[in-house]
Amino acid sequence: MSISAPTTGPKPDSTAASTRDRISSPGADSGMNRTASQPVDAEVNAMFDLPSGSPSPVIAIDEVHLQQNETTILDGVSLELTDEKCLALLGPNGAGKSSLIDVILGYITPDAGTAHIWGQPFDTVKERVGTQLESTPMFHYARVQEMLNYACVAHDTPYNRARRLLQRLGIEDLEERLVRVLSQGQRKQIGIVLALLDDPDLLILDEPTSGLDPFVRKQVWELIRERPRTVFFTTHIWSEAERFADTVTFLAGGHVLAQDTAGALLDACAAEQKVDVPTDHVPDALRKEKTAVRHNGSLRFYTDDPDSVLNHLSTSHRYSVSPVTLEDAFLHLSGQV
Amino acid sequence: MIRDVRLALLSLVYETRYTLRNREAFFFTLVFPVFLFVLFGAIWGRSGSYLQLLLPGVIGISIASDALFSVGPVIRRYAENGVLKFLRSLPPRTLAHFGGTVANRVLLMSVSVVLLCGVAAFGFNTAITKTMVVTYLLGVGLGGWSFSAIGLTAAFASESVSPRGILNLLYLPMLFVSGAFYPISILPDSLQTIAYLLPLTHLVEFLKGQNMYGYLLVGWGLLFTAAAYIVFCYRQEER
Repeated sequence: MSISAPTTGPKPDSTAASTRDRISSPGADSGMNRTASQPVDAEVNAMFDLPSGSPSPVIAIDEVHLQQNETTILDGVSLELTDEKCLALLGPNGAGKSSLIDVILGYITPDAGTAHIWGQPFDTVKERVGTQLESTPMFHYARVQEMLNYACVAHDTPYNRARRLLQRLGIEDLEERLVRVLSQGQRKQIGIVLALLDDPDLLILDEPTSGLDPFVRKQVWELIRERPRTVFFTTHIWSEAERFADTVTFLAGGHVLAQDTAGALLDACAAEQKVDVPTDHVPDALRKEKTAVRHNGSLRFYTDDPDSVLNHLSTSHRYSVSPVTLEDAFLHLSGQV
Repeated sequence: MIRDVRLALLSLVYETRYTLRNREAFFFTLVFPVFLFVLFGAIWGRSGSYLQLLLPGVIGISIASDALFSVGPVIRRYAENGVLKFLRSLPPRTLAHFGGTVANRVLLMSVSVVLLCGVAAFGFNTAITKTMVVTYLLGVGLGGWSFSAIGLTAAFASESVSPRGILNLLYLPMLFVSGAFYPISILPDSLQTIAYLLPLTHLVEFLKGQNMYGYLLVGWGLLFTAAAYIVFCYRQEER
């Protein structure tokens, strides 16, 4: 396992080095997992005209620092994402996730550091990139069909592709609606259709499924994973990261807290289960014997042996036992537990 | 390049549709100028010379209000609600989209000019010459450009104040001293001096056939295009 220790302040040099070392995705041959700092690969690929399958990273973010109104938004963030892998960027509100996406897409120029896609700025490779931002941008007086047709012309893609995606999501009846009357969830789905319109090799998605019901979320992920492609996404539904991401990156206070596979990050909890007991149901003996953390009106006990906690409770006590999740791993790694 | 042109044309078609669907925009762009002309024409239009003053005046204020309120505040809204980012994420240049937007405003302002000329000619027996129509359409270009640039500068000048608030503060005083509804010569001397410093007066005077005011409009256009560029870049960096 290779999880970085929680950091409390900017450590640009060590973070950069350790991040680069750690990023190899699960299943990837570490010996073959080269980085942008190996120009030989790029030269060889150029000689033999081999743009795809290149071992160089699809997304390379190097030591990005960003300050806005004297507040540090990103503090030496370095990341790499290799071909056909899926990276989930997780963190609390205000951690800098959306700002990092803005930096990758060139909407914000960082104070220091670089962000490249296939070794180039986003503007030069955007034909191959599908993007979906946190709130779906809309021309208020447009019909859905007009909005999609506009994007189809921009991408040089036949409109049938948009119609097929609408059908896959079961929202083909929205075509004639004005976008201003759509619900937030429907707008989100249109945003997904816009991102997937040109069947891009890379998807950059900012909370692609927030506000969607579980059935639609499933359909959205089926569309995203319809074919192998590289996916960089943020989400507040952390179970999606656990399920779909090859690499999970925790961002907190503008810097990378930890990065690894979901499984490896879960190991950071040092326990496999958690027992939640409402605070007023916790017997004194249990309080004295076990260490717990406060969580939403309950005390949470992390343990590999739930019975050691449950033995203290009678049948009248309420409790719940569940496996640890990425939220628990984040709390552990950020020192909140 | 071909794709840019296709997108600009599509943007022109769609933006025109959006304006026609938006009742408020439709009313203020095409109906309100005609209403103003008919109202003032009916009250004071018995002498033909007043109508010769009123027609370029109403055309001037409709060009100015359309350019001020339909370009800057809209682009500011696009910047805030993510539409600008969406446009930038598309392969064609963002300018292709705004080329269509500008063409849409020019088209609608030209339609408004033609409508006003028609109402003046057929409703009030005002003589409309070819030279007048050409001057009015030139006024659409020059006035549209300079007032769009002023609107864009004002829209991005302050993050906290609403662009429409700033623009109303600029537009309303200009409206009453520009000579659109009465000759400037009836104003007190001090107000006349101020009036001749304002861009709306220059536009109205140009539309009345005083060609030298066209150069002043070009000056306003250049000055505020540069100012809009600087303010817009500053705000984008600040974000």
